[in-house]
Amino acid sequence: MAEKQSDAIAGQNRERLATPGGVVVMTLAGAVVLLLLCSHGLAEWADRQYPELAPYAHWLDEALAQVGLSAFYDALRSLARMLAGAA
Amino acid sequence: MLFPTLVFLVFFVAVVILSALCRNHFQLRKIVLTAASYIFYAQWNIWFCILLALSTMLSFAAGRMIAATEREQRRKIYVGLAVALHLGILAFFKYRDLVTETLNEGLGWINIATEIPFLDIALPIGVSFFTFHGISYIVDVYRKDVGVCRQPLDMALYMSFFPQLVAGPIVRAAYFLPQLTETARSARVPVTAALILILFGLFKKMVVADYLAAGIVDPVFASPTSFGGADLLLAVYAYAIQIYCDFSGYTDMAIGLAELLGFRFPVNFRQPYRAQSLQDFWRRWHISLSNWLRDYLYKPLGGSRGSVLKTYRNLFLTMLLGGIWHGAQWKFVAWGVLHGGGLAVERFSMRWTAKSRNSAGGKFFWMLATFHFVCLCWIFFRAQDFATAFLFIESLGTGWDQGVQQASGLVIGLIALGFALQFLPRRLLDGMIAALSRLPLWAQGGLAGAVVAAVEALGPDGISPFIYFQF
Repeated sequence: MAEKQSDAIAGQNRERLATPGGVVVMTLAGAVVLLLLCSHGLAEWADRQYPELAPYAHWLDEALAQVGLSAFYDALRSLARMLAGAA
Repeated sequence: MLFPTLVFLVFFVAVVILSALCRNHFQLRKIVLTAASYIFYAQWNIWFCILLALSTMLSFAAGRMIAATEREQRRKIYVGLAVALHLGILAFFKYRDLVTETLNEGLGWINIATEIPFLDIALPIGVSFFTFHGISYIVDVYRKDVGVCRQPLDMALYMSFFPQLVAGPIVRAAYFLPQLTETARSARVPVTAALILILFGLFKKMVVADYLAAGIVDPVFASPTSFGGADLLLAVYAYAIQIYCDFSGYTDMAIGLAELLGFRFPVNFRQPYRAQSLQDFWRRWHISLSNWLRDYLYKPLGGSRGSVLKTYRNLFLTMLLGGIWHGAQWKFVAWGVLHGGGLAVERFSMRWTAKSRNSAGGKFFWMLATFHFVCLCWIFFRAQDFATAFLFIESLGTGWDQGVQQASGLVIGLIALGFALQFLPRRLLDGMIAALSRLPLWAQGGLAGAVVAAVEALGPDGISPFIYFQF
């Protein structure tokens, strides 16, 4: 008889649970924050795959850059390039 | 559609919303998830969906036929035919070029001018994994380890569920199908643990694995004679960490995504490089595949039930076939032979080495020895071909005076980080989950979004495909 497979998420980490509605809230919040912080990536993606959406993506990117939301992403990207370049 | 892409994010958000809307209509939810899985798969090639559907129908029909009769001979014929058909599909896609080439060579030897043309058909992504799912279901129904699936929709979702469709983990029917019944369904999700797994998986893949690939593994393995011994050795260590972070990163994401949709997945990796023997390694590495090979290959061959020599033979054959499954190339044969031979030698020598494995120093020694043996095997696995692997090993002993030229500080740091992950205490992860779970869900989501943005910023440009997608 085949042995039973054991759960990847152990029992003690299943104590705090969310409803499917909670998962929607969390996923949407995550997606919004990601799009706000990664607007450069969104604009590049739109350029490559959906040129018809590119003007809107660039508009959003510029607007977010003006309020400083791109700074976090840009700083980390520069740090990573510096570390890789220092090689 | 790779997990760490914007397209997948949009797709997944849509699936989560639809799935939540159907939370009180379980049948409808299963239809949504099956349709989403086929849409996900069609992004690679819509024709592959037909193959997936055929494989599903074959498994479903075979299960019903096996369960419908108590006559042992008939059951054996059904299971044999169904497994042969599954393996035939897999072999057609994975080995037809090798067979065509061999046949053409054979025809040439007997002076027949005809040449069998090569078929230009791509290997359907994930074909191995859904074939393994199908075979495990059929054999388990035959062994009466799992009840027959009476709902075609359940079988369709089991075979196609998108988090595991293209590279596992291999989820047994006995583990997954009961989750599809009304009584077993849990409407509540361990959301924080799932999030942490997804974020860890993303980091391992997008930062550690992708930088190591671009920074040292790809250039050094492409031309091993151009580098000194130090770079070659670091490239082997880097590949060991790269393949771990790439594959376990994918698995972590798959498990987290499935959990967010309300389904449990089995564990697939347990810090494999801290293994103190090869047997221990295979209990920690790609656990769902090694268990699959054990239950559907090693045990049917006789396992350890016969003589000692037969046990060694079975170990050797299981790993050899495991190697050949990766591809019709001598380098994968060598990888399987080394692992199979290593397991047999280890088992044979255990009576003399067992004592030395008890002390702290002994444990450390055997951990290092196991890791380096696994690394030797990885050279064959990663090299372009068998000859290049030998060239690589020969070159390892030369050019040490050149020092380290290719491996940067970042690469060495990432290798060290990859090793550190092998010793990350479980309680640290549990503590993180407990701390994060105190935040409201919108804040957990927002924080996760910021971490994903950070990982995206830190990783190299572009996303390379997951290593195991090719198998």
